[in-house]
Amino acid sequence: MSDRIEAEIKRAVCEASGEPRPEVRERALAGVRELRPRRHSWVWMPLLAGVLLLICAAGVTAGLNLWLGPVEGTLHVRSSDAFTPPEPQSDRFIFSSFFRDEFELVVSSGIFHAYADHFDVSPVSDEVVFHIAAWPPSEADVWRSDLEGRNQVALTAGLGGVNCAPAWSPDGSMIAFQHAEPAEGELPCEAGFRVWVMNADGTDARPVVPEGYPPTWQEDWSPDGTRLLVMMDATGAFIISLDGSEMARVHNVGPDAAWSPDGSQIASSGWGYGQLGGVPGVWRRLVLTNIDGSNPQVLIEQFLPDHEIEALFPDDEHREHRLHDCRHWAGPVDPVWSPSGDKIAFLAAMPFDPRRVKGRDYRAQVEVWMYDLSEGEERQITDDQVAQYSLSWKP
Amino acid sequence: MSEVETAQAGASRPSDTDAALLGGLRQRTAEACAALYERFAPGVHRFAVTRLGGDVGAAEDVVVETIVGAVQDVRRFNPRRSSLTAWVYGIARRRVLLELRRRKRRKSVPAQAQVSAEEVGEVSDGVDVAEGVTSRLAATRQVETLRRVLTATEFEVLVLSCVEELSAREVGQVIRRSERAVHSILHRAKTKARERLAGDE
Repeated sequence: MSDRIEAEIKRAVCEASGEPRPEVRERALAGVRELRPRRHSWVWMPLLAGVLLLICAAGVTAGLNLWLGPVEGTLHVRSSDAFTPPEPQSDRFIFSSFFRDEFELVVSSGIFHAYADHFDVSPVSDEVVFHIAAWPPSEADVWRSDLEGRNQVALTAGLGGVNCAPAWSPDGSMIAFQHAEPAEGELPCEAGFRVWVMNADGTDARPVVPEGYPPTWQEDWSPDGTRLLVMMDATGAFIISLDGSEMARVHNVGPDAAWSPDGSQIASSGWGYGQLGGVPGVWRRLVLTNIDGSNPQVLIEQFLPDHEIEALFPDDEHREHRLHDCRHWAGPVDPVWSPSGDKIAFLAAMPFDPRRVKGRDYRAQVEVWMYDLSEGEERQITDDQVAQYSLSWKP
Repeated sequence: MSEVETAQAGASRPSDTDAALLGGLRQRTAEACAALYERFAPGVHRFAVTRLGGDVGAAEDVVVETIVGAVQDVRRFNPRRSSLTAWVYGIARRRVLLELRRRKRRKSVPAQAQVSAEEVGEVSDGVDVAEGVTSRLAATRQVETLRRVLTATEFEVLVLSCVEELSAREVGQVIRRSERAVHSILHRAKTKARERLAGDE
């Protein structure tokens, strides 16, 4: 059957494309003849060395920026060698920068002596916000520190309850976060999260979504900092003004939504149960939608058959939860836009390989990926077998 | 058999054949350049035509740029990193992506496959004209259907693997993915293709 399909595809492609015309051969060979004669590299060595010295003298950074073009911001990746809370963590940030299309690891730093999760790097300073949670998560606070993990300050220390998932406003003056007040023995998600905002120093914390609405959690700020994109339980995505007075529904937007820098589109991840070739499983997708919910486009699609993961965690009391996590991390998660808006970085275990799951650690397969909107294709950026958790891409 | 004839004999020849061809290319001998063309141009042309939505003119440009680029940069070829076949297809793929990027900037619509009167003359050589044209258009439609159903990466992997007969390792070298990832993508692509082609029957 497979051979027949292959033969059919080969026949169709060969018949449809044909052979290059004879003049193409002449053009190619003429092009080769017109190539400049080869020069021995040593002829250029003194000149090259001189140029390099000049660039160094003028300042390496400025020189590279002028020569190679603007740096495409810095992609920050939060990763960890171990993941199971509440064991002490040594979280580290990997700082990466983009010179044109080339990926380059610059430095690895930032040791945090706690389980620091869901970080967001300031758009205007070398600071980061994150949350530190107890386990089970009956309490959590939003913290701020520098990128090295020094000068850690709990911004929500006096607020009580669970405060998590902080996100800087585009001008760095405010922080949005999720707030819940679970009762004894209750999980925060059972109590219901609400979207709050506060000043960057932790003052003036207040809810955004008015009372009476279902639980919400925040996804992203609008590029102008006047609105938030939020998800509402059992309803979907909404754009809401900071005082909660204006609220508009946005269709075709899933979780992990990210607002494009020009404000015109939203990237989000999504999943749904379905079949491929009669085999049941889960579709995981990265979807791009206009800001009004129109023109949804599937950029990435991965199918995870149920039978491939059903044998995992046979004796684990949280088996269903872990299977859910496997399905979650198998596909595109946590999309973030490049500052120029022509790339979207995301996390995913693609393809997810159940044979590589060791113990409970199914996240070691999660790597950083990049979808290039101008080329219309994705490529894998990291391959370090270390759990990656979240991304933040700043100018 | 001369070095050049040996090099022309096929893409799956062992590395000593590649070494002979590479030696000639480094010296930029006319025979080696011609051999490079004969060996890779048909496949690169097929790959480019299908990736560029049937735009034969642009695909021919890709063929020219790939051959010239390979000769120009042959000293950068590292046999420890990839096979010669994967390296050449990698050049072709980058040219195709550049062309696709240019199109997006121009916001132009990719040209659809067309059969010119000149080509009809070629097709009609010894066969029924109408039947030949109909068959080619049907094939073009099939390829276009696959291109729409599959993602760009799946389509590339399918063409490189099933049509150009590159190994999974070579396909991975072309698209910068692991061999395992290529197997997975190919499986997905074949499954979708099978469903689609079966539905068309």
